[in-house]
Amino acid sequence: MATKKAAKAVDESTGYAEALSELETILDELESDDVDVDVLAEHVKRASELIELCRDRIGKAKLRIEEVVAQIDAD
Amino acid sequence: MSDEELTLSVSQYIDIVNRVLKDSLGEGVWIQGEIEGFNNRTKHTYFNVVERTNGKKAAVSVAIWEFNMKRLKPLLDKHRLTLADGIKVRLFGSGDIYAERGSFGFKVSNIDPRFTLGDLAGQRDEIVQKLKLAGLYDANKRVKPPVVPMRIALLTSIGSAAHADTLHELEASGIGFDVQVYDVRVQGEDAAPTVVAALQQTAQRNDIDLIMLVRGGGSKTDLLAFDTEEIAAAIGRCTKPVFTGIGHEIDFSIADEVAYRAFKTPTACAAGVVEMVNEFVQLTEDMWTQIASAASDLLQTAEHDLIRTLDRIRHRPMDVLNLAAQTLKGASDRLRLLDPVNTMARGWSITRDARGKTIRNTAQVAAGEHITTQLSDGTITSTVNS
Repeated sequence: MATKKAAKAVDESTGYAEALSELETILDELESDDVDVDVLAEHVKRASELIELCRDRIGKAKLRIEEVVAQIDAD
Repeated sequence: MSDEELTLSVSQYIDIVNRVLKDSLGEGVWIQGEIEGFNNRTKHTYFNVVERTNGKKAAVSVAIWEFNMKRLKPLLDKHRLTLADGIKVRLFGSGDIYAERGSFGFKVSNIDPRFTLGDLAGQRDEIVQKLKLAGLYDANKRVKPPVVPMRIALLTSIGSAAHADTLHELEASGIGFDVQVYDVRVQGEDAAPTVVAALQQTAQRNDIDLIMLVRGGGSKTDLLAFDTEEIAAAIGRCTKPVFTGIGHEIDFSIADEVAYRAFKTPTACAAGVVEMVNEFVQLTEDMWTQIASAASDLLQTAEHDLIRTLDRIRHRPMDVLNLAAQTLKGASDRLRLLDPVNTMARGWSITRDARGKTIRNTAQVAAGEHITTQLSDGTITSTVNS
């Protein structure tokens, strides 16, 4: 299980797909019946970080795409 | 006895012979044979009618007086026949001895044109059969045609109307034909050898695309050269396409039959060549139009594809990002529901033992132990009674 591995620090080198996959795994774990309450807070924190990273990536991608499309239209 | 034997003067003898001839043959008789030594240089027409059988020759001297010829001319013209050497004829007349010279002559008063026509047709069939057997009958029709016949060998009698008509038609087209004229005889005994020689010569040249053999109209017998085996066979052997324009509308010679293409007149023949070039020009025009239109279609398709691609570039990434944002929002919502802070806000709590371990069942604690209960806004410490 992903959570049993030492969680890698979330930074610029983390891929979107990788982050989303980990997020899904955490959510599945949290939703399972045998969720360990002791690691709950830690999981939630990790999940929040991943969500923040993904949001940031989407926002940046949107901006970049808008710029490129505007450039295409200008040509 | 010998003194009393009948003795006649020359004129008496001739008179008796002529009378006997007349008595036994009446007004006249039909004879048939081939014309030889034809001569109409004076006002009367003279020739021999000969018969050849098994190497033996028999000949009768024939005369057609001027007045008889004038009477017979319309009949010959009607059947488009001209008397000449080599023509087979059937003649009606009577023979007598011309007293002054003692020569026997057959005076013609009528001619059977159907006999001559039938003979010509028979000869013609025979030649066609020979050509077919030799594989020459349709050989020229199988010659590879030029893509565009620009270099032409014109076989005709220089200075004839056919020569002028052909050149005029070619020039009037405005196409820059390169025409090499070969002067040939188109009737009489020199016709076949000169036409055959010209055909052989032109076939060997590699700067000739097509051969035109033309001659204006004339009587059937004038056009006989074009029914000869020699000319037809030379056309059959010719490696270049031969176009003929011989005689008027109703004539169709063996040369016409074996030619690559036959036209009814020299003008029509030239027009046929012009048409071939024009067809080629039209073909190239059509091809160019097709190329231009295909190129334009390709460009248009490419442009449409590009517009479609640009459209996808504009919209697809945003769609992907929006979908990603939606997925993320779903995850975020799920997370919020699972966050214990929120759960505890609704009244749930976590109870731990003195070592901080979460208590999941009653067996984990004993009476007198201290336990800590975590609520959303702080903790409560209690002692277990039982």
